[in-house]
Amino acid sequence: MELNQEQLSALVDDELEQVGPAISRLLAADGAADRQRWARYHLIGELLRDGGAEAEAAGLGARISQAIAADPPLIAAPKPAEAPARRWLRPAHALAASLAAVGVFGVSQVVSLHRGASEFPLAQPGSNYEGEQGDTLGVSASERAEQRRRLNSYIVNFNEQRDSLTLPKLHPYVRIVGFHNEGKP
Amino acid sequence: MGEHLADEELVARVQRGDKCAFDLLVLKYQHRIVKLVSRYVRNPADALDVTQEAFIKAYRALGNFRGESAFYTWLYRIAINTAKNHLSALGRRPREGDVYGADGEPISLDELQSDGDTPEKSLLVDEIKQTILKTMAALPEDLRTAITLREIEGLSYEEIADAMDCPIGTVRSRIFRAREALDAQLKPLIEQ
Repeated sequence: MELNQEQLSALVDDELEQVGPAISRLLAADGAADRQRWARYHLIGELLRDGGAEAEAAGLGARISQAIAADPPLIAAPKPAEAPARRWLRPAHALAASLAAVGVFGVSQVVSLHRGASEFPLAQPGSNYEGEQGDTLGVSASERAEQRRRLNSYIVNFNEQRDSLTLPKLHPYVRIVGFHNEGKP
Repeated sequence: MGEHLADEELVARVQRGDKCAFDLLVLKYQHRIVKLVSRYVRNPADALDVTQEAFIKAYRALGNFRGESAFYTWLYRIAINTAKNHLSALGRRPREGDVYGADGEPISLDELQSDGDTPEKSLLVDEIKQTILKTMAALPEDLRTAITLREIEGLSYEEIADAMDCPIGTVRSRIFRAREALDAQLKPLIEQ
């Protein structure tokens, strides 16, 4: 079946919606006339853009076709599958990124706590330091305890997963958020 | 419409073993590659040989082409490298304005004009160019504008439709009719 010539013209311009079927028809055994037209349409474009017709005059297309005729047909190498190690690292990277965010959050909280501490008397041994700071910052001790519990449980989870992924270079952020009166109100 | 869709389809077919699809890519890009290579290799016959070599290299490397760049960009790089290698093999570096003989030495204009193409081929090329120019001049205004905006200005059908204030289908039809008029004059020259 011959390709609709207007479709061929649109194909030359990459303006055809259904490219696959058109190319199939172009490459069909009885599509020689269409292939020649394809070549002439491209040549017209080149001539209008001040290109030359030297390749056409020299029969370059036929020469190249003849030159590769002896080559075996190409079979493209399959796209390399993602290496298992890289696939394995992906959740670890996500975990590290989220932990970094937690670390930043934790640091900012500690910094703000320390700033607050400089403006107020230092906690004395045995005093409920956190409870006092909680009041100063407008956060109740129970809210702070809940935040710390969630944070610590996150860190515990991370450490467990880190061990299972054997990532020895990643350090937990326990020191940043660790307080000494765990369990006290 | 997606740019280079036809190229992607053709490349995929070559990679599945269809050599004929590569012929279509050659027919599409041979003129541009000859023009490109001619900037490095001034001798017309050598430029054609280097172009042929570049296409053969491209075909043999196409199995590893992943489509990270457009096919033409990839082919362009191969052609430039092939041209530079050709000049290196001649022991020369490409310089702006250099005109080379096959031995790598600068050649005179007389030599250049007589080298490579036969007079018949040169005449044919000139005749083809003149025919296209004459036919373009004789085209109805709307057809000439449509094909000019497409081929010379590189506008998409949608942009041409905006510029000419007509539907895209009309643009498509006008470009096709312009090509048909040009092809009717070109075909006998090519086939002679």
